[in-house]
Parts: sequence; structure tokens; C-alpha cells
Amino acid sequence: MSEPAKKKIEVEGLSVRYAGVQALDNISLDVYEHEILSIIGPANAGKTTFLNCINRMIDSIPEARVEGTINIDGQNVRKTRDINALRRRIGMVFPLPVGLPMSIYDNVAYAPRMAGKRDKTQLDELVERCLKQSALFDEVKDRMGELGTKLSGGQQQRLTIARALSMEPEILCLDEFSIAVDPVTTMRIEEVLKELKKDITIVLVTNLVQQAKRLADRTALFLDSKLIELDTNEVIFSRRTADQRTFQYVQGLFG
Amino acid sequence: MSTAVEHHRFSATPVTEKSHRRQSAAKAFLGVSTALLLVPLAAIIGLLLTHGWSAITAEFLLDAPTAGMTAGGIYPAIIGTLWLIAVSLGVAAPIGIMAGIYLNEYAPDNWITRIINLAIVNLAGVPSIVHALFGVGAFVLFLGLGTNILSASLTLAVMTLPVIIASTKEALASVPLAFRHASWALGASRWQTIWNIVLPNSVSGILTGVILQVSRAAGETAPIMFTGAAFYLPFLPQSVQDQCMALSMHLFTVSTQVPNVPEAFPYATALVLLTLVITFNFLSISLRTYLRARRKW
Amino acid sequence: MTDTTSGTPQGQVSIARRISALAEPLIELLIRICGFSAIFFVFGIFFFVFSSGAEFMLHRLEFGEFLTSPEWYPTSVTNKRYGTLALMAGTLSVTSLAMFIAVPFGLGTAVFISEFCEGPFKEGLKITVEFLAAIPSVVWGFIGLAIMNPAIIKTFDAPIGLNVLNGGIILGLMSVPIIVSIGEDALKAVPDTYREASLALGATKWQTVYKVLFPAARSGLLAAVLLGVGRAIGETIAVLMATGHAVQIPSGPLDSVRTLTATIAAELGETAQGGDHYQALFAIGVLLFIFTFAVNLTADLLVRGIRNK
Repeated sequence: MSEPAKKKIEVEGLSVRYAGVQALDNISLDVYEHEILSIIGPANAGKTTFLNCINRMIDSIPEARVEGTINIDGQNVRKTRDINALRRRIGMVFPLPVGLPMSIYDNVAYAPRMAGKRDKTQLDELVERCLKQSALFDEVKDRMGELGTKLSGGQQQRLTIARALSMEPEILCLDEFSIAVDPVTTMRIEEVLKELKKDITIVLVTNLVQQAKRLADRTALFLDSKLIELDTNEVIFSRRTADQRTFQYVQGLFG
Repeated sequence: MSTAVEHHRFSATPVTEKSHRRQSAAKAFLGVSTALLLVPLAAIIGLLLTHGWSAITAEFLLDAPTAGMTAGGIYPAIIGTLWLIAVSLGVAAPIGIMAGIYLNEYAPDNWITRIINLAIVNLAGVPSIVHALFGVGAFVLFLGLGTNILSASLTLAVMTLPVIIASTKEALASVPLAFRHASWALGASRWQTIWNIVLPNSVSGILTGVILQVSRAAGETAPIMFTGAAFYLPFLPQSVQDQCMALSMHLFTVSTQVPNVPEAFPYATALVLLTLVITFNFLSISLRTYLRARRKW
Repeated sequence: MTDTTSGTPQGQVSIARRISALAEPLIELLIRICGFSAIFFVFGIFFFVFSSGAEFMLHRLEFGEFLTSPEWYPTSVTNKRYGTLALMAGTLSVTSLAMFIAVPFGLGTAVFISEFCEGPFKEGLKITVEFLAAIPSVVWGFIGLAIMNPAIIKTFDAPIGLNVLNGGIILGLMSVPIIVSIGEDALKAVPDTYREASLALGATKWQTVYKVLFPAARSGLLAAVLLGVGRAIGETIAVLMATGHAVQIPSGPLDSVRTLTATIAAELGETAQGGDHYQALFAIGVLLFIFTFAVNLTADLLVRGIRNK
């Protein structure tokens, strides 16, 4: 890297508590522009909660108590008034593929339309671009009018990515995207992510350690709601980890 | 020659045979009891048809009653019922649907919401005559609306409200939560999500509930007896401030308070009312079946 | 450069979007108000029914007599009495007979439909029960008047066919659908794993029903019955037409009675607005409201019990 990487997301002292459980405990980390940061760790370590804080989806859990700051480009997202505008800057892919109950075209055009875009040519071009970027276009170009819910799981997950890209977000968050998806599709999506890295910043939560190794620049390990270690993949996947637990988790000795 | 029964490990023993016999008996018994239930339904329809069919003529359906209700037809009663249905559902449906939206999409899980749900359940259980008393006390007297279609319809609206709320809630809840999450994550607001994804996919369910309540409003007598329905009116209603006749009220008065009515008349009136009600029910059920087949997910 | 207020990277947000963004909070406020409306109405009903009779109830009505005396003579010139015991006996007798019919038939049908029926036949049965539920109460009352009346006179050689028996049978048939529907819900709520486990152990379907399902669905089935009772207590027109006009405590099913509900319906039109008789009828309304409130509350708590499992 010739120039110092710019920080895209700065998280400081993030803690989340709900249902009597500490879901996140004093997390501080930075995500740099144009990198893929992966977050690994066993179930219930707080990884999903972390993503939900970034795009304020945590707001839909009313009992959740959130503390700390999250800055995107220096702007504190926890204080943002227009949550919907924030969410349009951040694409989110959930573990289970979801096709909205409308045509494939409408699925991808949904977010732009909600934001006010009406021009048909612009929308056409946007839909095609996003479907191509998510490696789905060739498979659906002749059936754009079909229901998104009738696609296969792997196709729906790519459709989700296309939807996420339709607002030209700066950040893309993926939460264990490959759980319900076949290996071939997983591979294709991984290719997509590598391409996208050039334009956007990616935070990838995954339960597949090998996936983190393949895709990410840096990897963070969450355990029991705490951040254990965050470093480049070179370090995380070697014997030189700062914390012994990182090495053990990567080796599959627990979790 | 061996007389011993060959006991295969899986062949029936005397014990299992007895339980099978018991089951067949139980099944037959239950089946018969269900059938016995349907006998009254068939009998009612049959009897109404046999005694009343002769009176169903064009005049009966299109003329006003004459000669002190002993001749003529029930046209004004039909019109009156239609007025009542239209106004009462015109009030109850929007309020009920919006209340259902609030409860399923916005209401937090706290004690206030629990009380609202409790109120709905209890509103649903209020006897129709108590609704009538409420209608008299609140609409006719307190608000000074007087006895007319408006008061009667408002009374009917309060009566049908809880069920519309409940069926709207159910229809909305059948739309998977995942769709809402996906929509919010894309930057759509809560209301945009409801308007663009939740409502379009629950319209049929909501309509099913509303139509069912139309059917109920058409058949009720007590709530309208003292709030706006009249025994006999020489003119058709021109506005909601007029009184009206109604099929249900008409059947009641003709069978209990008018002497010398030709035997077939009340049967025919009952038949017309029943047909109206069953038609709405049938519409509602067809809509439900159509909806199930056309599920988009 | 991202426009942080609108979120779209290119160009302006459409005017339409700006307008709808302003209208949204108003729409949501309207929705919220409607959401609370049920509370207003329930309180409203109690308030208006109570206040319409309050003056009489608080100053002149003797509650002891009201609840325990069988003498209901509100129109007597010399000795007005407002005892509702006979009316309550009327409600009780008709409701009991109705439940005696409706509970076995209702639960039996619920079990039959839920456990022993499949596919289109099941759908057909459910639809038929729904049609039964749709029959308006005035039509039921008419049936009681025109058909059951002569039938009872003939069969039992009775002097009059408008009595507890007539009203009880009619009311029973009217209450069956709600017992079937809620009872079916209760049975459906029992997880299939119970049925599978039972059958795997060699039990027959019927044995599964009475040994496993009934106990498991106990509260839901009880709720079904309670809701049926609530329905029966609150029914007005059908019993008005079918039970006769006698204000008396019945000594047998062939006696005529008058229920609480029918009394209000029959007499309200003839009272002077605001007079004692008028207010006394509202007092009966309050009584009815409390009864059905209690019954429905209990039923709802039971149903909530099954939904939360």
C-alpha cells in the first residue's frame, strides 16, 4: 500500500445488551476503505449484533441497550436522524436468502424506487448493472418478470446482493451469506466480492474460517461478545497470533 | 391338524383388535354426530324453500309492502339493509384495518398493547342488545344523531370492528417477517414497507374478513331496532339522516307483530335474507381459496 | 459525493418522495389512533350503558332485590318491583340446555374434523360449519317460532311451543359453530409430534385423541366451551322469538321463560326515555356486560395460554 488507508468505519466502545444478556462488550475496531474485513467466531459471539448496529437494524429490537459510537466517514451513525438514508449507504445480506414477493426486476428496482427514482431508462440500466455485478444477470435476463420468490436459494442470495448494490452503497455487510447456498453459488459470490472490493468496503461475517482466509484482508475474532484479536490475515492464520485462542479457533480446536 | 393360531409378531392381538373396534365405533359416532349437525342446516334451508319459494316473485322483491304488510313486497327492506351495510362497513373497515396495521406492525410488546388486545376480545363478546343500548345512549342521545341510518350504522360498525381488527392482524401476520427486514435494510421506511410489501400481499386476507362482517351486519336485528330501523316507512331513505327498513327487522316484525300475513311471506323474507348472507359468506370463502392458490411465496 | 440527507448518490430526490415523506408521520398517527380505538369503545360501551341508567341505579335501585327477587313488575302502577332472578333463571335455563346440546356436538365435530378428516372433505365440512355460523339470529328465531313451535306442541302435547326447550335447541345449534371453530384451533395447536409419538407407540387415533390430545388441548377446549357460553348468554333476538313471554322461574323445559337479553329488547321500545323502567333495563345491560366480560376474559386467558406454548 503506497498511501495510508483511509478509515471507513470507526467503532469505539460499542456495547449491546438485551434480554439480560451482554451481546457485545466494549468493541473497538476500524474498517478501512476498500478492504474486506471478516469477522469469525462461534455462534452467539455477537457477530450478527455487530452488523445490526452498523446499519441500525438493531433499532427494531426495542429492548436492546446500545452504548458507544460508530462513525462512518467521521459521522456518528448512532446519532443520525435519517436512518433510511443511512441504510441506503450500507448494503446488507442476511444468512437466509430472501426474494421479495415481486418480479425480479422489481426486486432490484425496489430500493431506488423507495428513494424516489422514477426514470424508467435509468432504472433499466441500474437493474441490469446490479444483476451483472452479482453474477445473476445471465440466468434471469429472459425472465425478469418472474417472481423473485420462485428462484432457487443460490439465485435468491445473488438477487439479495443485487438489491443491496442497487443503491450504490459504500459499504456491504454480509452475514454468513453462504449458509443456505450451494458451494458453486458460494464460489461465484466470493468472486463477486473480490470484484466489488475495488469500489466499496466489505464487512463479512462468516462461520467458515477458510472463507475468511480466502477473501479477507484482515480478520477479527469475536468470542463471547468480545473482540479477541484483529489483524491481517497473514498474522491471524499463522502461529504468530497475539492471542492463543485465535490460533486454536482457526485450527478448529473449538467453536 | 394344529388349531393354535400362529402368532406372528405383527398380527393383531385381542387387545389391539378391541381398540380398533373402539376406534371404529368412536369414528362412526363422531361422524354421525357431525352429520346430525348438518341435518338442521339442510332442514332449515329445505323448509324455508318449501314454504317460502312460492312467494318469491318479481313483485315481492321489487315492491313495497302494502295493506299493512300483508301484501306487496320487501323492496324497501332490501334497500335499507344495503344502506346499513354500506355505511357501517364504510366506517368500520378503514378504522378496523388501520387498527390491525397498528397492532401487527407498530405496537410494542408492552402492557398497553396487551390491554388493547384485551379490549378487542371483550368488544367481540358484547351481547348485541348491549350494543343496542350503547347505540341509543351514545349515538342517538349523547351525540344527538337521532334514530336514523347513521346511528344504526355506527352501532353496527362498533359491533363489527373487533373481528375486522382481528382478521386484519392475522392477514398481516401471514406475511413473513423476513420480507420486512429485507425492505428495512434497503432503506425503506416502516410505512413504505407496509404500503409496498405487506399490504399488497395481505389484501385478500383483509377483504375476506371484511366481507364476512358485511354478512354479519346484514343479519343483525337488535343493534338496529332502537337506533334507526323502522317497521314501516312509506318512502325509501334519501340520506343517512333518514330511517330505513331492514330485512332482519322486517322478518322479526312480520313474524311476531303483524297478524294475517300470508304464510309464505316470512319464509320468503327469511330466504332472501339467508341468500344475501350466504352469498357474502361464499364470496369470502372463495376469496380465501383464491388467495391460497395464488400465494406469492 | 454522497448526499447524506437523501442518500441517493446521483441527482435529486423526487418531489413525490418528499411529499410522501411528510405525509408518513400523519398516516402513522392516524394508524396509532385507530389502534387505540378498541379501548375507547369498550370503555365507551360500559360508560354509556352505565350512565344511562346510573341515576336510577345509584339512588333508587335496591341491589339486593335486583339480584335476588324473581318479581319483575316494572310497569305495575302500585308496586313496582325490579327483581331479575326470574330473568336470570331464564337465561340460565336456556343457556344450560343449549350447552348440553352444543358442547358434545361441538367438541365431537371439532375432533372429527380435526383428527379424522382430510383434504376436500375436511374443507367442505369446515365450510358447512361456517355457513351454519352465518345464519342470522332472526332467522333462527323464526325457525323456533314457525317450525319448532308446532313441532314441540305436537310431540310433547304441550300447551305452548315457545319455551326453554325451543330456545335451548335453537341456541344450542347457534353455539355449535363457535365451539367447533375454537375447539379445532385448540386441537391444531397441539404439535404433531405428540400424535406421532402416540401412534408410534401403537395407539390408535382414537386413543391418541382421548389420552393425549384432550389433556394437551384442555385449556383451549375449555375456552371454546366458554366462548360458546358467552355467545349463548348474549343472544337476544332468537331467544326473544323462541322462549315465550313468561317472566318466571321455569320448573321444566316446557315452561316459557324470558331471558335478560330478551327482556331489554322486548321492553325498551315501550318505556319512557329516562324513566325508571328505562333505566332499569340499562341496569340489566350493565349486568349482561359484566357477565359476558368475565366469561370472555377467562376464555381469552385460556386461549392465550395455548398460543404462548
